[in-house]
Amino acid sequence: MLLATPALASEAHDVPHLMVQLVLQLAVIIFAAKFVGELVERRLHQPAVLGELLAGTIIGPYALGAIPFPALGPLFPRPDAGAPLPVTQELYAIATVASIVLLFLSGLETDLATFLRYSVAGTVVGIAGVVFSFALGDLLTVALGFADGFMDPVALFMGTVSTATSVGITARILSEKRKMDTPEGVTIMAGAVIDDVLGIIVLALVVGISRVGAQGGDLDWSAIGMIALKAFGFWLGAMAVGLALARRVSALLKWLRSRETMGAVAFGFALLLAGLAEKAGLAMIIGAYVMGLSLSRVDIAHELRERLSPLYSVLVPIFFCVMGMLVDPSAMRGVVLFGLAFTAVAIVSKVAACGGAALLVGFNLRGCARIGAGMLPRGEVALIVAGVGLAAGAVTQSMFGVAIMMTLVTTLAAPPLLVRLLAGGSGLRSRTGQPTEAEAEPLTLELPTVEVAEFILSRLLESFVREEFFVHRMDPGARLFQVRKEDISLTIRRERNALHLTSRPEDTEVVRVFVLEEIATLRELMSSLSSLSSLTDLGVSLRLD
Amino acid sequence: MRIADYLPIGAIMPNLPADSKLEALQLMVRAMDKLMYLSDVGVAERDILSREAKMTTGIGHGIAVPHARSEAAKGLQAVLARHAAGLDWAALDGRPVHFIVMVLSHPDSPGPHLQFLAAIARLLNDPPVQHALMQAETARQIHQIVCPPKRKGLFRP
Repeated sequence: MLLATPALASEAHDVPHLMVQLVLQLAVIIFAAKFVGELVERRLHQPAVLGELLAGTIIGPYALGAIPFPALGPLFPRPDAGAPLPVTQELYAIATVASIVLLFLSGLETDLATFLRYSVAGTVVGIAGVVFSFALGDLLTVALGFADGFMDPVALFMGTVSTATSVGITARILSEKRKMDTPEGVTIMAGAVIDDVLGIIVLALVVGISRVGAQGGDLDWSAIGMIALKAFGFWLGAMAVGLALARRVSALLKWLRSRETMGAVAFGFALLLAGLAEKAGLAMIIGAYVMGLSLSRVDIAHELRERLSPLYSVLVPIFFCVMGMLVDPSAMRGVVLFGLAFTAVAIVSKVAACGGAALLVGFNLRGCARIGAGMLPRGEVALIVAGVGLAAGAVTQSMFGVAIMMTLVTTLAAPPLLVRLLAGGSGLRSRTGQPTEAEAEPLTLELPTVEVAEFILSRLLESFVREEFFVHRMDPGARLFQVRKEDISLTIRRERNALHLTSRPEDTEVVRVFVLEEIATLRELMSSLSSLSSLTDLGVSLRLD
Repeated sequence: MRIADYLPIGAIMPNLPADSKLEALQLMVRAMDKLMYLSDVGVAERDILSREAKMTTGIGHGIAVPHARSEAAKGLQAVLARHAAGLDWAALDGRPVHFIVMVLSHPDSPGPHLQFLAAIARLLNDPPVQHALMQAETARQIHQIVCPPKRKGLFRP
């Protein structure tokens, strides 16, 4: 090791060496994430994301990763003291891109109409979560004697650490369980986004206060006001522009014709908005989510999801694995008791505040539990906040350990909890309180046999595709299809020998005209078949000699 | 999709001088030919009539949408005719037909065909619109009802 160290140092800026290291790291990450992910899914019946996080911690710089290989050195070297991140910048960059893929696809999966309908509920839930978890995190630090008062920078930082929900983990589980467009799903997503916007503002405020505490002088309210204004302004502005321009973007994408190119260029837009979001002081993932959300209602949304899902499958596990690597289990030594108490409070404050708020905005107990659990995980943002506090000198190494412990426990506890809670019926208090989108009576066609129904179904889908509609099979196990083009959206379902076509009232003519044509074809087919004197003759010529 | 893109004023026949469904179809095919929409009148007429023979295109509420995919058409072509007295079209609801939209498109050209029929059916299947169309006196007035001026705006593609 002593001999290897100077050699490694000279290689630190050697690009081929860095790339070799990165590529090998990615290979190990993909193997570990997929293997442990599968294992956790099959044996423990828990979501794969849990396995990916665990795999990250196991192979990371604080565990196996630090063990040097002969001639290669450690694959994930232990970071120098004071390094901002325990992994290399190159690896973190890939994880960042992966987080953009995750949130862009989460946005695409969200039903925009439902999201907007529950955005007020989400805002209430988000604000309640931030206020309660901040206050309780701060007060607990004071109560246990680690800070002098509520306004002590240490207490303020610990309060901030406990505010930010990690939308990534929840989004992943909602997506795996196909719950992204349920009332609870969109409320959690809206709440997590608001939470993030507020978290940025609270952090700016706390950094300002701690600087005043250390250096004296007055709090720079105008600077903090600017940060708040930029964060909120970007969030609202991006949503408005995204909604207004979604169809233009979609028209531009369709002009490309090749479906692969469509997906690639759409992802380019997601990266663009992610960068702009970061520039405005918000997190990149917020920009990516807004882009996905805006495109979620255009006709090519399903197409984009399908094109990008291979990217998701490769990159997203890397993101969670790297998140797992950021955790240093040994940092928790010495502060276990405070850590446990802080973690318990962090769990209780989010679940109680978000769940309680959800109860006020029309969810039942089941819905509240889902929303509380969904808002529970703290992830990268908590680590970033703790890192900022460490750099500002307000947070000690042991406090940092507490933050990591809280992040680890909430992150690991949320997936199994959420999966269990997502099973079962509606989370809304009353079905009547939920204004469903106006849908026409489904048009039902009873056909003589399953085969004829299937024949008409495939002809119908073919004629929609021919007119440049986008047909998406909703459920691989059932004959359920969504057909979209621009504003038109309808679903076709075959159940035994019946076809059910459901559309909004303004699209009934589309349904009727397309169906009428197939009926006309069927009639012609019947009359031409009956003129065929005998099908047996046809059979004779086909028999085996 | 915008109906206006396919229905210029010249393609509107305010008073179709026909006494029967067959005559109406023949007159409208000929009108299409005059507009230089067709490469072969005979083929176009044959295709329209053969679709009509399969099943009526009288979709109810006084509207008929005779149409076909035909080699004789260049892209999507449409003409709209009004018949004040009403024609017997053996329509699905048995009512006489006052508004006839004939659509022909080339079998190889992708894009709207049935969707165009649906769009026009949706527009016409509205009592105030039908009333206004019956009151209109010239092709230009009908055109203004069917194809209202484009709403301009950055956010309204």
